[in-house]
Amino acid sequence: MTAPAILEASGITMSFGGLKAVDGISLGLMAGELRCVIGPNGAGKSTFFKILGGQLKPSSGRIRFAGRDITRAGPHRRALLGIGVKFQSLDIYPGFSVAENLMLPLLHRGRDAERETARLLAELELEGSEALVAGQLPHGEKQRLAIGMALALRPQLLLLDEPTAGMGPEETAAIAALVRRVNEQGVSVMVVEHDMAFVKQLEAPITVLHFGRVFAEGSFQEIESHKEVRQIYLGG
Amino acid sequence: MDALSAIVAFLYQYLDTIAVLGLSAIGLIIIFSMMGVINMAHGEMMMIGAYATSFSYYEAAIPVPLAVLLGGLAAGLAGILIERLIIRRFYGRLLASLVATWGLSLILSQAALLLLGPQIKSVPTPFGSFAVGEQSFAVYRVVMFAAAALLIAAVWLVFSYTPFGVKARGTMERPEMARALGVNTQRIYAITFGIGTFLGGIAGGLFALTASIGPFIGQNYTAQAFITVVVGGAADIFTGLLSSVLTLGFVKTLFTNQFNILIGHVAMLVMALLIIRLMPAGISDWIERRRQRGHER
Amino acid sequence: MGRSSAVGRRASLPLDRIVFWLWVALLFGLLAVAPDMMSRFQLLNLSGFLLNGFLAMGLCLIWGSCGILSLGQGAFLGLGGYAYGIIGINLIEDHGNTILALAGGLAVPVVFAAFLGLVLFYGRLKGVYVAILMLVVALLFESFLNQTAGPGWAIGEAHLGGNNGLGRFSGVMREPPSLSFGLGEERGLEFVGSTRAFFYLVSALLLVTYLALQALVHSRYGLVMRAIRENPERTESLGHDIRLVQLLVFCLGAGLAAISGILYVSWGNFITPDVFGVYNNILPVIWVAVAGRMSLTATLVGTVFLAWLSQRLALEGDYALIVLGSILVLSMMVAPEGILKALGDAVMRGLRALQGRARQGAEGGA
Repeated sequence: MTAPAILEASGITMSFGGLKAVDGISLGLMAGELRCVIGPNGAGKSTFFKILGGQLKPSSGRIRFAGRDITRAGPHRRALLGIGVKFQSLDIYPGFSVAENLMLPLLHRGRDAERETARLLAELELEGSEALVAGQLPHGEKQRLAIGMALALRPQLLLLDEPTAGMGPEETAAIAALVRRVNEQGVSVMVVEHDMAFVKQLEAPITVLHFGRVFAEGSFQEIESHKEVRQIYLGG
Repeated sequence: MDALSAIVAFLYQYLDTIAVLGLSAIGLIIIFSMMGVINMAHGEMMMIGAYATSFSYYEAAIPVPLAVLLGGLAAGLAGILIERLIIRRFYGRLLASLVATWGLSLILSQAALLLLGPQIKSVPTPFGSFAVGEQSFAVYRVVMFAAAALLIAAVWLVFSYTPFGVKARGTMERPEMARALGVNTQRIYAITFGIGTFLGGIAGGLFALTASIGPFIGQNYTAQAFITVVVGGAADIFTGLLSSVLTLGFVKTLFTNQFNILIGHVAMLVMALLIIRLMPAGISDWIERRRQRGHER
Repeated sequence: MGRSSAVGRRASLPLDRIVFWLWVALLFGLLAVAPDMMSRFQLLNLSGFLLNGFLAMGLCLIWGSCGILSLGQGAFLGLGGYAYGIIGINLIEDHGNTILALAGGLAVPVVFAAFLGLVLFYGRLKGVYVAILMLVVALLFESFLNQTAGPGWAIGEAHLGGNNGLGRFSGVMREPPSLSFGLGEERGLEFVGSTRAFFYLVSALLLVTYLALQALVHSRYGLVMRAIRENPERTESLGHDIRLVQLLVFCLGAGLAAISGILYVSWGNFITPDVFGVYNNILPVIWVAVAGRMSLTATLVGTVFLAWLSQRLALEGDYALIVLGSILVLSMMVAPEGILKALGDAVMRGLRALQGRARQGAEGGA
């Protein structure tokens, strides 16, 4: 028995500035799956990511989420349907308190919100910081908070763009543990990443993008030993 | 009135509207495209141009074309001064720069009113008129159109082909990159602002020859200029200005002709709202996208 | 900005609360005794300053809280005033339909704002575009009404009167009526602009509105508004329909401007197209920017003070607007978040430091 697909992107194309940043990417994610998407700079990762989140409308192609066509749905619709997103840039409100940051995605929940906040603070190992101004947290905690805000939506699918950018090895390991824990709870996760050390820790299947296309797919070991992939990373 | 003279009359009005829109918007759109700043004191730059034109004409007996040029220079200098003293502090804070320049507009127009009164001597419209059939038209309006066309072409040449233009476009697209390549972006911004206000001053000088000159001479044109800029967008000065002026000018002429000038302005605003509903970042941005898609095929 | 506000169970510091309520008591206590301390003429003027508070708080809400700058709030004030005046001239005197005039005065600008908002926010227009298009809209209303001088421009008994507007200056019979409830002999409640009744009506409305808006900006909806101001894309990705929120906030701002418009017309029994003009659009921006766009309190106090100041200056000479313009530019450069806001924050910091020292002292002593 195969799990149903949670996300199906087919033929996604997006053009900017005379070149196709994303050129016909088709990619499916099974329910409960954890997947990494990697690629060298300019491979179209971030553009593809924004298309999935609804921040960009693709020039062509379709996206289905949990059996529903969401190609034309705006970002807030996708969030409410169950797609949690963390962008590449630091995705918190630096002037707000930690509790306010977490409250924003929880506002749809009504009475639950406070219990949820406490649960999330524990999950993110940020207990006791709720009254702190988010902009003053250490970098790693900011990233965890940003992920937590996406988790607060109780998503079926979590999309993370470079969640470990600018982190040391310890913080990276903490994020990897968090992502795996979330995935074990049944949330499908797609991580767009640059940092191979982090990808290795996730122990997940990998899709390699290059020049806006799917270049290779496979396990970490397969990708690591893939000659051409090594070439585009090292020789590109 | 036969069909031919109706067409001639319409064309004349159309050209005139294009000239007025183009002249009043060109300085504004340059500053907006390059720096993202809407200069709310643009009307006052036109006012400075108009006053300087009138003064040089009457006080120094300078011939009209030169007087208009001096009007432009006066506004250009004022612009550079304003950029150094005020605008500079508001880079990256667009709404704040909007408010600050609006305050400046209030100061300048009220100062002119206080110091020089509600009106100064207007400069007579030169060149007389010509006739087509039974209708007569002012030659100056045609000259103004030519001046507008010339200025737009000059701006295009400057920004496309001169070393300054290349640096300016680089600064506009990637300021950090330009800085890394040794471009003095501060100076580029100051000069750009100066060019924008210079063109505002020229427009003011040209308008001064057709209207009574007072502290609010420029403000009569700013609302139209704003609409023109919004519709044109910031993606490309030249395509933005041209497409916006041609479209809005047509709508305005048509409705002014059929009804009155007020309906003409309302029609322009409604057209603008329709256009930005379809192309939120203006026509130039939309054209840019089409063009890029065309390249790929 | 750094200070977080109360959300949900986490009440703000008690000190904030105490200072806030003391402040409200002081402000409105002063208003309660003001009529006893001034002449009828001064009271008329003070009512005139106060009624701007709604317009200013509306701008404070949309710009300060939600990040939507509008340079044309005068459009909503004017529409509200004209709608109230036109309906009032036709219905209040003869039929006592004040409620209908009030409803019209509110509904016309709010519906118009909703229509504009559909284009501006659902079109995802840039902030600068919204700001200047609003000014263009207001100026077009001014041009339109300026050319309505002829006898053909009448709605029922109300002659639009071109640049003379509605009211006594237009030389026609009827001027927009004061707010009044009841009919004919039984007209028990009438709020004539120069009376204490009108002054107290404006003050009470202002108090209620101020408290309601404070509650709003400190509620979860206020949090969403501030989130949109700080980072619209992220707010959207957290499941909030930012276009809808912006539209609703914009309509609320328009409604507040309309209240000022209605009160203005019933205060002076006239309105002219000038209310749509450049000055009446830049004035609220000056009040809010100079006082502090992020703070309703600063906005309210600053508006009344600056409205008073501009009247004083106007009596002295013609440079009132130059002074106001200079205050605006200088304050934007020196205190970008507003002068009163900066002062208030400094005072609060001082109080908190004192509180901290007092606490330390108490602990040290124990």
